[in-house]
Amino acid sequence: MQRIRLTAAGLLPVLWLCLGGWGMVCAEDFMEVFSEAMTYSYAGDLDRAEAGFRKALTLDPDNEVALNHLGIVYAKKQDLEKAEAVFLKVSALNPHNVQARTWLGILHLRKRNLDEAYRVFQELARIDPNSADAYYYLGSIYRFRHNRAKAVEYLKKSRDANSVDPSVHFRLAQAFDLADMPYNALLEYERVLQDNPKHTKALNAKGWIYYNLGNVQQAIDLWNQSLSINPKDREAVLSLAKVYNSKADEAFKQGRKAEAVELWRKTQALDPSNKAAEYFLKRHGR
Amino acid sequence: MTRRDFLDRLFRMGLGSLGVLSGPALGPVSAWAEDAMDLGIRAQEWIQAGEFDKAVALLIPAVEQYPDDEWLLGLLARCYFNMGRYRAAARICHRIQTLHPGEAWSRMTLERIKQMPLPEEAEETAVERRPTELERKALEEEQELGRKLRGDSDVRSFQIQRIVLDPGHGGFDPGAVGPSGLKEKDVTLALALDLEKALAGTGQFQVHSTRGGDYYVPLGERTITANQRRADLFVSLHINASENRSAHGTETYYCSETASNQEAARLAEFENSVIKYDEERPLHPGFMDIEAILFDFERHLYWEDSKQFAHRFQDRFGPQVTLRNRGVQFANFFVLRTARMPSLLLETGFISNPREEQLLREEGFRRQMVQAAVAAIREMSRA
Repeated sequence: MQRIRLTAAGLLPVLWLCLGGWGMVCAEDFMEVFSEAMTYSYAGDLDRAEAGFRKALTLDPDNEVALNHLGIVYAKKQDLEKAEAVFLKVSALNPHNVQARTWLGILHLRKRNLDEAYRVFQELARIDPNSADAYYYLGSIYRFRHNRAKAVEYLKKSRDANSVDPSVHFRLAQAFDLADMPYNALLEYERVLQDNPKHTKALNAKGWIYYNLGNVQQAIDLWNQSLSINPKDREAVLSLAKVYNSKADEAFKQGRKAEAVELWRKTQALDPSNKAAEYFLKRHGR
Repeated sequence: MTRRDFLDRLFRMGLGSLGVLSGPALGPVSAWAEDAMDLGIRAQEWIQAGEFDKAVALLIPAVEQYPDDEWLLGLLARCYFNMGRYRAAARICHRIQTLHPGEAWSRMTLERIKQMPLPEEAEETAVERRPTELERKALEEEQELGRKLRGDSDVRSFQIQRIVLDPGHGGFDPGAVGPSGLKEKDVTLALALDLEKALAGTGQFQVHSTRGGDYYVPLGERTITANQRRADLFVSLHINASENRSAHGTETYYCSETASNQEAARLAEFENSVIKYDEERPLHPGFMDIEAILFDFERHLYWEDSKQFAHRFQDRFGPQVTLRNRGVQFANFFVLRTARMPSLLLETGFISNPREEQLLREEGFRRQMVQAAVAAIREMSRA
């Protein structure tokens, strides 16, 4: 048996196999044009990508993948009407095309249209009852309505639909936190951080959960960890400033002036515009 | 280990020229039998023969040895893809994209998998292990609290359970001062303390304040408190002032990118003057950042809710408080903009107006204000 490595050189036949496996018209020249357009699209060269997908569609006018990618290019170019028209065309060609439906929902989110976004994602969940995306967006929408039960329900469905997306764990963590379920929130934030240890929003949110559970030092360590990743992280700066100021007030009231001054200095080092630290250091910092 | 590392190592050992990688040499060299590279090469043979399950059986231990190897992961993804196990293929393609962003085959395969509904697939059997302490606590918490969660499916309704009140100014910052010396910071604190008590007394709400005494809280920390408490509503209490002593009445502000009028813009500029704006995630042309879209969507939903709530406040103040209703205004207030919930800024009268300054001093008048605010918030929570 001949040993052949499946390398980049063998990419086009594999793509052809991959796309053709769904019974589409897949001439070699279509694949070349399409593949080139994809490369432009990923590189952010939207004009060339658009031209490429248009050319590919002259070879295979109803190719759903190419149509969807043309729609995505329009969306990236902020031509939302054209994008919507393309995704509607794909949905008409194949009502079960979940990518077109997902993008229609995203366009409604982009247009800040709550009712339409909700309707489209509900449809998506009906078409594909295992759609992690549908449940992700529905759960997120319910979280924005501060509807704890529905947010947790849908985001758990998204997580359980074999989702590999850390955003799902992040939004679910937020929903658990809102629902006063700190340990579940912590567990989901940990899953986010396993995938991306530099996710400062997860670190910051974990910090407040620990703080609210009474573990102030662990909270401070987490916010400092955020700052080691992004020294300008506003949430971490303000969280630390709030906690240092609060500890300083407490120390000052209990007569531990030196400790209070040191804490105000820490606040000021973090946030030079912090008026509270500035005021107290002027009065007591000498 | 990558293929390149492996070949480099091999050639440094002088084995490359001995034909170790050629077909006949592989079989008898038992030392290589369990090596990931060898397993990968043998798996390729099964892939060529269309025997994907046999290839998977070789690739799983190979990937266990080298979980970050793009080549081995790519082979495994191809097998799953050809076996129709699209979710498993997608998981591995995501992994490849995380390790090697832009890798062509996994990227294209993911694109294709995204098109169609995917059937449920049996999970690979997870290795049994003892739950961590956190997992155990989370499970207990879910058993205890998860069942109690209730919520209707009306996506238009907004749930209010927790409220953070924000008495403006405090400590060394008195805010506006009335003609006879009444300080804004004292009125806002008195109002907040009464409102907190009244709201908590309904049994419907958990209420917190950004300050409970006469001390200064920087602007940024006020919304941090609201976010820390995971509030559903943030209400900042202020008293208006004007150089025109006859200016009077109540108005309610909500956040918007633009201001309702010049006066609102001036007020927001004054309130924001002490802080530096931080960068946000703008919606750039040429880029679709889904999380930025969700962030923008969330914020505008809250501003839309805030607008409705602001009207409820003013509608309530009208009949219950004997001050002129100056209506609802909007402006880009930092203290409102950074809150992750609907947020309002109430300007409950003009401290610069001698008559209103006197009213604000009176406990009975403040009680009217508190009652109107409680009624408005209860209405909102039912909306």
